[in-house]
Amino acid sequence: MSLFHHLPAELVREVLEELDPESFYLCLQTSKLFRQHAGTSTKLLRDHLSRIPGRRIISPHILGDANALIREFSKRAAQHLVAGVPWMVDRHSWLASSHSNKKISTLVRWGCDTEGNSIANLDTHPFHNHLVLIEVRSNDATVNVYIVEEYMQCGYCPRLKHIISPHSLSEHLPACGQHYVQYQVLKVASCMSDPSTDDPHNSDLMIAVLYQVQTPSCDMCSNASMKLLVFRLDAKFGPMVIESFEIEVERDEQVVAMAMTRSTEAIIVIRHGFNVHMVMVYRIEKDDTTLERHTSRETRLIIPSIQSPRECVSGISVQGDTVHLYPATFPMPHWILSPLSIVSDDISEAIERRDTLLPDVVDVFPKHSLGRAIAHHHHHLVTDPDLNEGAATCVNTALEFMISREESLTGSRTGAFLLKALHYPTSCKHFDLSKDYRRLHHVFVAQLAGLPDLHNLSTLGLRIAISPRSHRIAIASWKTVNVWSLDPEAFLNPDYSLGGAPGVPGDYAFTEGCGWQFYSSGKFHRECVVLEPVELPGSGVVFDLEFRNEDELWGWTSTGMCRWDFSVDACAKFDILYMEGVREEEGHKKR
Amino acid sequence: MAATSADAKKVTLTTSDNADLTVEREVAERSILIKNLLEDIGDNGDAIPIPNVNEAVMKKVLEWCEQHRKDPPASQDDDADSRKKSTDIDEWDQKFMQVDQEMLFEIILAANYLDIKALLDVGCKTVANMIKGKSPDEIRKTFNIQNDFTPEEEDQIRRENEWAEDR
Repeated sequence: MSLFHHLPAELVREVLEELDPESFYLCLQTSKLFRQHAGTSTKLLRDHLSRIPGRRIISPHILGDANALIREFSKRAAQHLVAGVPWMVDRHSWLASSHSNKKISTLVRWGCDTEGNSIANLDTHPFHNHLVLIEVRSNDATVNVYIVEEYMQCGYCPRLKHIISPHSLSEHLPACGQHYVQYQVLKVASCMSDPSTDDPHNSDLMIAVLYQVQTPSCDMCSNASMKLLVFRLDAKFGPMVIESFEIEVERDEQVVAMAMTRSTEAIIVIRHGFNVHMVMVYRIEKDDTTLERHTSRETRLIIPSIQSPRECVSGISVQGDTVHLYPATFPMPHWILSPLSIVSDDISEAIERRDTLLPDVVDVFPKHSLGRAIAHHHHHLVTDPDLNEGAATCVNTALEFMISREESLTGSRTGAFLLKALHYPTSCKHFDLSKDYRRLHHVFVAQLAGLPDLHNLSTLGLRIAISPRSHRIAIASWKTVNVWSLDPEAFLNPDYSLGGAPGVPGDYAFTEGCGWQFYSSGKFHRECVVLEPVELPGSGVVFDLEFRNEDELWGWTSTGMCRWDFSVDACAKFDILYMEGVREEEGHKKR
Repeated sequence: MAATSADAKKVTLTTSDNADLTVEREVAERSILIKNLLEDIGDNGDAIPIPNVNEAVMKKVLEWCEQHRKDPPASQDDDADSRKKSTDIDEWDQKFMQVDQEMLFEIILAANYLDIKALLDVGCKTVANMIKGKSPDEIRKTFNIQNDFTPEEEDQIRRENEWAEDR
């Protein structure tokens, strides 16, 4: 029998009182003994509740009910990752083929959330969220499409659904009459089919694959252009080529990034020489008389002001009508192409360098959109004497996730931050998370602690994933994966955050000390809430990260695919399997 | 027999296993229980019975009292603050508490009985630190606790702890 049974109740409670909330949570999962002792003291439970983030005003019917307090505490602990994640996380690894090209392969998430819906909108929508691994094989230019789905008792697993082999694409990939032509895959990208023609919640995923002749051995092969094929992953018929682009690149040019839009425009970033970067936009045009389709409207835009190697573009993404270009080290938008439907050749208007310097202030400062907008809130018809002369006015606020390492002599803030952006719409219109706003007012609300040295990152830089409902931010740096928990509404919605407590008079946009009460259990720095990370057990060098849901993170690593499950079901499981088709392949190789 | 002046500052404590331990009164008075007893019955030289603590444990407790004889009494504010930092245990106390688990729990029980708040805090913090950083399974192993939840109860607890609806 445990010696705890010999301690009087008040001493067991004394021990429980001395625990940090995370250990207290784990004790509650250990045995009835601890639960019973905890249940005899509402004070103990209230004390532990006060040590984790959450609304400070608790409804009276919970306050006096020990079981309700245990439930409230446990739920909050799980929500804010104070539930023993480092010890309890389930880690499942699927080993990939040694032929996998880890850098080109990519993880893709799609679902209703990718439309930039607000958390409020998401609550009214059914949850559709899918993860896909587009795996590129270096040896034979095969592209394997793994879809993460629930499989028997194993939970969510990557299942091989489609194989795109160049051998089956002879119609689209030019062949040489002299000899066999070996292709290589340079880039892959994904996008959804156009929602105007399909059900947005059941859109098909489209995959763009950029092929190039691997080792040209004759003039004909050398002169062959690159081919960009766009596949629609049809549920019945598999990958179907829906567009084919001729991509012409000079010998001294290198493709560094590629993206596709919903309307199947290809956007390719090319490096010319040492540090000249160009963005090329390709479209398919159809001749109305001959009905022939051909690649056209190549637009060349030179990215201005790239001064240092770490500023070089290495990533690209499409957000609504805007194209974001990322520097080599972290996926924070540095250059913007907006709007996407570029008809002018005026370079200066088409590509804009974002001002990514964060001023060293604690007050509100003006700037256009910063980082990635992850959540928003609409303050409907606010009536305040300081706003619009007291007339009822709508105000939007948004939470932006921003990393900056730019320093200035006049003072700047470097690191990872959550900023709150204020937007004054001309009518009752919600904030658009995918839009690039020219003028917003920002204020720092939180800082992410435990970030690696931003001036000493690996060549892979930081890999970032934000969960569908923005309650988690994961950042991987080489082999280290950290997850931060946040509650966007704590910073955006005063009713939720303050739980009925009065706010600052006249603070109609909830900018004064927003989140302070909610996060009063934690640290503060320069009037910012400090969010502490939880480190997940490593699984190799991380090349890509994505969340499937708020408590399930997937990584594409040097060993293969990895799933970290830190939900309440996690119980420190660890297993290693092979990805589908890999075990046989590796077996053949050994023989 | 009347106590000599040299012995006046000493008291004798009789443990549950009938061992007599003589210590300086200042040391013994770290225990509020003993202090109150001495005040109530007066210092007549009689041994004070400590029926709930055996010799081995009492020696450990007195060793602690000897080390902390000059400590100021803890205030209410100190108590509130100390709760936040369970790992903050004085280095000497940490070494002192490096005993087997049975002894540790006996010290806690003795500190509680003898009303030595600071020692009780150190004991509870030591146990708390033994829990810290462990999974439920490891906690069970460390303290020989049985998992008395049925699978259904475990499942119910997990469902209660779920915070996100998206699975």
